[in-house]
Order: sequence, then C-alpha cells, then structure tokens
Amino acid sequence: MLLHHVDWRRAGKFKRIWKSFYTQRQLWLLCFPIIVWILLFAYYPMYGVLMAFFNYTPGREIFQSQFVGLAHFKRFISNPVFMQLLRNTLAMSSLGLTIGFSAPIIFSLMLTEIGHVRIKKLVQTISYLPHFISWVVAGSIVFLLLSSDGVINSLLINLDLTEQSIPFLTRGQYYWAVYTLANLWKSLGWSTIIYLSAIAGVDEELYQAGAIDGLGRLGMVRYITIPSILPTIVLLWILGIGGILNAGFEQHLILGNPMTQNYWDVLDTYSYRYGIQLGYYSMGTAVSLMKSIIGFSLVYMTNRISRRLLDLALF
Amino acid sequence: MHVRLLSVLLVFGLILAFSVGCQSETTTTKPVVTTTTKPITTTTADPRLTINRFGWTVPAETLTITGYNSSGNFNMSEEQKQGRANMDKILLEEFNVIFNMITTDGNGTEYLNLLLASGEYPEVIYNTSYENVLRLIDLGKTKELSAALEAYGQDIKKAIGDLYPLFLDAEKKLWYIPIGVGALMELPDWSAHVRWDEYKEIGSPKIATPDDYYNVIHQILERFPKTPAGESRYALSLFNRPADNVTGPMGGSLAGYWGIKSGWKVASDNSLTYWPFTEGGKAMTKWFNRFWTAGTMDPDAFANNFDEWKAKFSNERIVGAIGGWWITYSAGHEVWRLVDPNFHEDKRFVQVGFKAPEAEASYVTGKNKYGGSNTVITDKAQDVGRVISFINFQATEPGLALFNWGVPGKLPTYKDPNTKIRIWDIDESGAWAFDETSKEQLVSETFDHPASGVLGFGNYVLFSHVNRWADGVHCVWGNQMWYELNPWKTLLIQNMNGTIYDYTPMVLRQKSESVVLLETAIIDTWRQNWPLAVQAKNDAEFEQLWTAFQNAIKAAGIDEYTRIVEENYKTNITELG
Amino acid sequence: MKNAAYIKRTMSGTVFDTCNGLFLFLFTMLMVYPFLNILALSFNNGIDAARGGIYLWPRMFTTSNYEYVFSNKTLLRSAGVSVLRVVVGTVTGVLANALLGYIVSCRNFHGRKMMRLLFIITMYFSGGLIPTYLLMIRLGFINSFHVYWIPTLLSAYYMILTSSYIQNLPETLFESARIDGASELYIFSRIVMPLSVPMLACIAIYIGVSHWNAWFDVSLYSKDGRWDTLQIILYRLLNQANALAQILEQQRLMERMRTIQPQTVRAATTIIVTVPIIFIYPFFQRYFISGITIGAVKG
Repeated sequence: MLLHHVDWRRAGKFKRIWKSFYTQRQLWLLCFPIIVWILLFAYYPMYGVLMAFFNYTPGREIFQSQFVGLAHFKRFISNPVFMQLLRNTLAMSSLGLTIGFSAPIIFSLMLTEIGHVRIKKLVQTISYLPHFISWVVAGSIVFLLLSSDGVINSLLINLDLTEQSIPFLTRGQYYWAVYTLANLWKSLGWSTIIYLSAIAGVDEELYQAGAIDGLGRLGMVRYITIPSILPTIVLLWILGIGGILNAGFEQHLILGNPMTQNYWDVLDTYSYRYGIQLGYYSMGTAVSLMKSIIGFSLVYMTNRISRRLLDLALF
Repeated sequence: MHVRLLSVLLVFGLILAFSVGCQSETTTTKPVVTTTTKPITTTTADPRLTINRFGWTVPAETLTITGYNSSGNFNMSEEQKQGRANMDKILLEEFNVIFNMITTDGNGTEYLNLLLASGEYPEVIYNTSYENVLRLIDLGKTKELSAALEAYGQDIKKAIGDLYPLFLDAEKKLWYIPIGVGALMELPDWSAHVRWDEYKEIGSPKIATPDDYYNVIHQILERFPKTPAGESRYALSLFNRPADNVTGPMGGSLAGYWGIKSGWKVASDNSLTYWPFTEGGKAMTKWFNRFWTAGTMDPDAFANNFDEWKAKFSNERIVGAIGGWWITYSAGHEVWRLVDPNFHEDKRFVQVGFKAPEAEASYVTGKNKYGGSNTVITDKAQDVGRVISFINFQATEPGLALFNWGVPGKLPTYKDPNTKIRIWDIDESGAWAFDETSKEQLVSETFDHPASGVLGFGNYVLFSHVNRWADGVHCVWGNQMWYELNPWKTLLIQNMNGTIYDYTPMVLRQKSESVVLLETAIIDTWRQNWPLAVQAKNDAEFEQLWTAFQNAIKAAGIDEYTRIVEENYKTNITELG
Repeated sequence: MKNAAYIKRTMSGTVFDTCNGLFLFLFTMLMVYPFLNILALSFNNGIDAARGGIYLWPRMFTTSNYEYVFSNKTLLRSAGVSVLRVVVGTVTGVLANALLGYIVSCRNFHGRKMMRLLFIITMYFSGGLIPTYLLMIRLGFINSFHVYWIPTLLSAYYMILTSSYIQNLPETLFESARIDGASELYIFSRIVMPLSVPMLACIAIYIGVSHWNAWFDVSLYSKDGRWDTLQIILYRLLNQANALAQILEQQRLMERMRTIQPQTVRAATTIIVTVPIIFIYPFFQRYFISGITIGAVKG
C-alpha cells in the first residue's frame, strides 16, 4: 500500500532502509536465527580474551584478579627466544601456505586426468587415509623412515649414496622439511576433496565449448578448470594467510626432540610450555589474542587487495 | 512457500526452546555431600555403632564423599573396572561409605581449572600436584586441617612422623594432606645395567668406577658384536620421552655417580652449585662423550622416545643401559620370557652401581619423602571431621592394605571366573595376613599383574605412606617385600647400596611465578645444550661446547635460581633438625 | 572428463598420462603403506610387536587386540551414539551451512557483507575454553546430546566453501524463479541444493568425519557416561601413554607401565575408527568424482 504511492528516490534515508529490509525480508528472516546463534555461541564467550589483561586464576572472576594491562604481551615479546620463535613459526607456515597449499590443487588436477573412474576413486580414497592416523602413530612411522637405522638411511647406504646415515631427526636444519613433508603426507588427500568438488561443479558445457574452440587437455585446464575454481582457491588462501602465526603444535611435540628444538619451537609450543602447562592462563590468552589480531589484520588487508586486483573477496 | 519458511522457523524455535528447557531438567554434576550427623570419633559411646573387622567404626548413616581425582587421562582396563565395582561393594557393605569419584579423560589440571571456574568442584580434590594445592590455598578454597587432624587423624600424623613440620605453612597451618609420604630408603630408583649372562661370559670383572663400566660394556660388545639375528649393536642408548626418566627434571641425575645430588653439588657449608659448573657434571658428560666418539653410542640416542628405545633394546641391540632400575626389565626379560624360544633365567639385566673415584659417594637415587601428590578438602565440605576420619582409616595398616593391595579374600578374575586371585585376607578379629601363593608369585616375579586389577587397589587413595610398616616387612607395594627371598632383588639392593640418599630438604616447593618460569627456562636450556656437548667430535670441540653450555645456563638465570634453592635447602635442614 | 568424446587424443597426452599414472602409483604406495603397516600391527601380538620389525604382515598373528577393544561393555552403545551424532550433526550442519552460503551469495542482499564479516571474525577470535565451558553449563548442555550438534552447527570455513560454489551458479536461474514468485527457501531447496551436490557431498564428508572423530567435547560434557561416543572410548586407550609423562616416581611409573596397552591395541583402535569411514565414503565420493552438467538440470 505504502509502497505504491511514495516516490522512493526522494524519500528519506530511513524509508530507503526500510524498503530494502522489506523487499529482502525473507532473507533477513532466515538470517535472524543465524545471527542469534552466532552471537550466543561465538561472540558471547569472547569476553574470555580479557583474561590477557589480568593475572587470571581459574576460580576467581576475571575482574577480581589483578589488572596488569599489557604486561603479559610485553613479557612474551621481550623474552630472549621470541625472534627465534617467530622465525620458526613464519618459516613453517610459509612452507604450508606455498607447498602445502598448492600440492592439493595440483594433485586434484592430476586426479581428474585419470581416465578410469574406478582407479580415480581408489587413488583418492587411499590418499586420505593418513588423515585418520593420529600424530602419535604418524610420529612412529616418521621415525621408522628417517631414523639412523631407518628405511631411507638403509636405502641410501645400500645404494652407496652416502657413507654414514644422515641425521634427519637430530639435525635442526632438516626439521622444517621433515615437518612440511609429514604434514603434507597427512593432509594432502583430505584437502583435495574440496578442490575435487569444486572441479566437479564446473559445467561440462564449458569443456565442450572449449573443445570446439580447439583447446587441448592442457588448454582446458589452463583456461577453463583453473579459472573456474580460482575463487575457491583465492578465498581459501586468504583464509590461510590469517593463520600465518599458526604453525602446528602437536606435531612438534612428537616429531621434535631437544636436539632440534631451536627449529621447531613456535609461538604455540612456547606459550604452552610457559603458559598453559604451568597454569598461567593469562599468558596463553595473551599470545592467542596477539595471533588473532595479527591474523585478522592480514586477512583484512589481503582481502582488500584481492578485491581490487581480482574482484574476489571474502567480505 | 510459506509452509517451508514456517517449518524452518519452527525447527529453529524448537531448538532454542529445547536448549532453554534442558537447562531446568539436567543437573550438571553429582550432588555434593551434605551429611549432618555427628562426626565419628574413636571414643564413641553410641552402642548402635559397630566396628567392622578392619577396625573402622561404621557410621549409622551412609557417609558419602565426592572427590575429584586430578590425575587425568583416566582409563581403566576391564579388570580395573571390575575391581572398582568390587571396592565400591565392600565399602558400602562393610563401611557404609560411598565414594563418588569424578575423573576426566583429558588433562587433569585443565579440568580442575574448569571446575574451579564454574564453581562446581567437589568437597575433596585429590591426586593433585603441589602447584595446584598452592593455587587452591591462594584462592581460599581449602579448609584448614590441623584441628581436625588432631581430633580424628592421629594415625595420619603418626604416619607423617618427623616430616610433619614441612607440610605446615609459615603460620603453622595445615592446608593439605600428602599422598605417598615417606620413602623406601633401601629401594634404588636409578641404576646402570648389564646383562647377566653376557657379563658372566667375560668373567664378571669388578665394576667399581665409571671407567670399569665403560670397559665392561665394550668388552661385551667386542665379544658379542652382533645380535642373534645378525644386527649391529650399540653400547648405550638413551630416550628423551619421558625425558625426566633418564636424567631427572633438572638434569644431571646421571651425574649422581660422580657425587652430584640430583643436579646439585652440596658443599660442606650447605651451599649449592648446579651441575654444569661442577667437575662431576663435566666428568659425566665427558664419559658419555667417550661412547659417542668411540662410535658405539646409538646415533638416535637423543631422538628416541621410550617405545623406540624399547624396540631396539628388546631386539638385543643395546648392550648397556642407564636410567630407571626397571626399564631393562620391561624391555628385557619380561619380553624375552614370552617371545624368545631360547630363553633362560640368566638372560636378564641386573643393576650395577659404580662411583667416580673422586666423588665422596654415589648419589644416584634421591628419595623425596614429600609424597607424589596431595589431597585437599575444599570449602564445599560440610563436615571436615568425617572426611578426616575416613582418611585416617587409610593411614592404619588394614586401611593401607585395603586401598593399596585391594579387596581381601578370593575374588574371581576377569578372564576366567573360575580362577580366583587373592593378595591378602583379614578375619573377623582383625588379624590379617598376606596370601602365600601371591607372595611366592611376587617373589619369583611370575605374578599376573593385569589380572590383579579386579582387586580394586589404587582407587580412592586420599592418603598413604610408603615406609615399611610396624613389622618392618610389609609396605604398600606388593612387589617390594621379602627381598631376601628374591635373588635378583637382593642383587639389586646389594649393588646399589650406598647410592640412596635423602633428597627431601633440597626439594623446592614454594615457587612464585617468576621462579617457575626461571626453572622452566633452565630445564629448556640444559635439555638443548647437554646433548650437543655429549656429541662433540673431539676434545677441543667438547671444551667449546661445554663452555657454551655453561654460558647458556648462566643466561637463563641460574644464579638467581641457585640462590633460591640454596636458601630453601638451608631452611629445610634447620627445620628437620 | 578425459574420456569424453570431444577430447582429442594426442601423443603428449598419452605421455602425460603414463607419467601421471606412474607418479600417482608411487604416491598411493606411500600413502597406503603406513596404513597397511598399522593393519599388520593390529593383528600382531603386542609384546612381540614391541621389538619392531613388523612391516606388511603380522609376525605373531592374534586377534586379541581387537578382542580387547570389543570387550568393552559400553562399546555398542557408544557406537550407536557416534552414529547418531554423525547423522544429526551432518544433516543439520550441511543444511545450515548451505543455507548460510546461499544467503551470503545473493548478489543483491544488503546484509551480505555484514554476515560474512560476522562469521570470519569468529574464525580468528575466540574466548577460549573457560567461557565456552561456562556457557554450556548455563545452557544445560552438560550430559546432553545437544551439545554435540548445536554449538558447531555453523562455521565460517564451510560458509566460504558453499558461498563461493553457489556464486558460480548462474544467477539468472534464481532471478527468473524470483520473478515467478518463488520464495527464497524454495529457490534454495529446489534450485540451489540440487545444483550444489558436489559441494554438499564435500562438506558432508568434512562435517561427518569431524563429528565422528570428535572426542574433546565428549570428555568435557559427557560426564555421566550416558552420551559417550566411540571416539572417547578409543581415545582413552590411545592416550594412556600421556598419563605417564607426569609420573616421576619410578615405582609408580613401573606399575602404570604394566597396565598400558601396547601399541598394537592403539593400531587396532585406529583401524576400528577408520574402517567405517572407508565404507561410507564411496557413497559421497561419486558426487564429486564424476561431475554434473548444469544443462541437464535445466532441461
């Protein structure tokens, strides 16, 4: 009724907002429970980050504890190994964002090139099996392969490629490679599932049109497949950038040992050893908050760049 | 379609309603104890109360105690589950006591924090570390116990004995009860090992010094360079997880053979020096370095975890061992007995001790009498006296027997209900005795430990002491009695004689946050630097790495830490008299 | 796709196929070998296995490891709870995340950016364990089944996946349906969902497996054991070694070591956890291995 008689271009801002709500009311109605859900389960507990600014002890309310401001942050940053922790963290997460990120994509493209559907399914199924092996078990497998008496060293010595066994597990310089490969082995198959499903969503007619235009198989991958799944790739990568200060935790406790510690000690393992494990929650929360702020800022900036360059954005 | 929209909204609405509704239905934890009857005293005049065969005065109303077991990672085998049921049964029937145990599958301290944060902790928190106890005291959630102990806990006091002043705070108040207080001063915890049959093969030469041990191991290696399967052998190997199991948390337990007490050199004026700055510590590292430069040490010695070390050991690939006294049992003859077709009695490792010539004594095993964990009665407890009287029972000999040996009498095993197992028995008059068959099995080391889980020992232990009982023979550990009947144990005690000392005064218990961080940093530092020195390629490199090690420890703040430990030591010495 | 009639067969293509095949063969060997190793271990005697040297076949065959796991009396009920959790959690999760993905990919929807931002922030910021735990208590989720699926219903990650997939779908389909008077829910259920089957299959797998594997929330919220899942029972077995790390007293350590189940039981539990997934997976796999034709749906 109201809608018909008013000239909306000259109507006030409020009326315009009301109109947009009204026309899209169905979507807003659907959003409402979702907003309630996320406010309750995700935003309400966020008051916990305040722990980082107090000397919080469980058993006492946050505000009853002593307020220390940025003390925990300062202490964490000024500890002598901080730069080393940062170095290790960035090194391993960078490897993850490059090698670890691109491998599943390449693997899924290779998978789609397999002709027999049965073989394709079999290979794909086998590839995700390591995902189900816990890190404890995976660690013993790594040891089996890389220890001084392990499979790799025995092979190398038998083939006369080396005289003495290579200390893969006790020399720090090898650690980043060992970690990246172990992580890749464990997560590759699982991560390809998403890319396979994205590739599967590409309309077959596009390939038919491409064939008519004279594209070979490589051409189809370059000009049809990849551009079609590019949004998924870019968005997942932007999300991944936000996790640049996360570089594993459990893996290091299992794959690492004191000999390689100055290569595997990352922000999380340090904060666990000196924070949570000793019961100092506040320190752990402070480190976590720092990572959150830095991570999200990176995501925000990368998102803007992506919107400008590629017209793809997370939000 | 509107119907669809409506149904979606309905579903969401239902969900919300559900969650709110559930709130009023479910209770979050088991009810907390509230009993209001008079506390039990040993001089009760009430004729209605009976005394059961264990000497416990059975209360008229069921005593319910709820306790949180903070040990975490809680898991019971099928035998243990049955054992717990058996224990619950006897507690209810003969004691009129119900014990509600709260446990967690994850980290015990993490869950304790959640209980504290939500305010739903029970009246008793036990099996908890001293750090947690200090935190609970700080939060004001613990009840003071000296009065209750005086009235109802005389047996507890007797069991703690001379150590009692060490458990009081500065104002002479008692806020917790230790579990496992005391020590078996003749049982060594750590030792070096050599294989008995191989040792006899080379003529059983005397091992008195570290160099003797080195030579003996290498003689054996020369004599038997390969395993029966043809694989190469190493003289020595180590494992780094659990780390403290080889070297102790502060490192340098291995230096005990060189006269260092758990990482500290004690001077005559009671001043302390941390082991990297002592001759003994350096000598110990150099000794390990000898193995390394000789090429007979396992290259993965610092990468192995226990399972990996055990795998090599069980395949006879390692000739010698240094560490806990039992590791060669678990990885050695206990495995070989079951899988080796050529097994014979002598194919086992025995413990040997030695002493560096310049050391005053071989301080290999430091006995800490404080106990392994603690019990706290929280402010949720309505009647501290009753809880203390229950704990007091656990300090008496029938109580120790019940909770640490298990339920008395013959019980069917889990796997075969027709087979019965019994560790001890107690008759109506209160006279108790250890079962002869089990005693024989324990002495001959053929006792079926997993099957004994049906006896339900180890549950609900709120207090215990590990000293010998009044008769000087029995103790809470089933397999640590009658050494004289077990030739291997006798050998163990004999060989390690003189290596055990009382470490209690040196234990630093009161730690502020900065001290804890200091300690963690020092532990981190020695764990990273000591292996480097051990793996030096030659003398020059060793000196360089040793100095680097010392500098790293200095940078981690050892001077401040030493000062604090020393102060604590001197205070404790005075207090213990 | 490779064998479709319109693809030309070339020499380089065949070479590539051979190399691809070879590489993938080696690759699968690398992936499957550890699993076969674990399978072999699970059928081996525990004490014998501790000596190492088991590669592809058990040396001392026994089914005692499986017998030990299955002797747990509550195993059947826990398996039932696990299945219930996976079914409820996956159905609700897929529907909810797909709906959310649809909402935030409607090009003209003004709340799009806000909703996305709202979710993405939660990917990086979190209050931690204690506030979440207190919230669950307040909602009455302790010892309740609902704690398994309600708090994890929606996720920013799945929102990104579904929305970027749906954005690829031709908007004209939706527009014409709107013009015809269809409600958003109709468009979602009748148009979007059928076209998004590969993506739905993918997140169904992810959500389903994450529910199947979850144990931490079970250990926190299922206190009286009523809602124990299969995973928590198996986790208890797998995690025994952790408990020992804290014990320093040699006597206690030795006694506890005696009760620990050997790695062969751990291997058996890994197999028990993985095998159901391997059986169910092919039902979902076919949706994203073969691909679909939008044209066919249109017609």
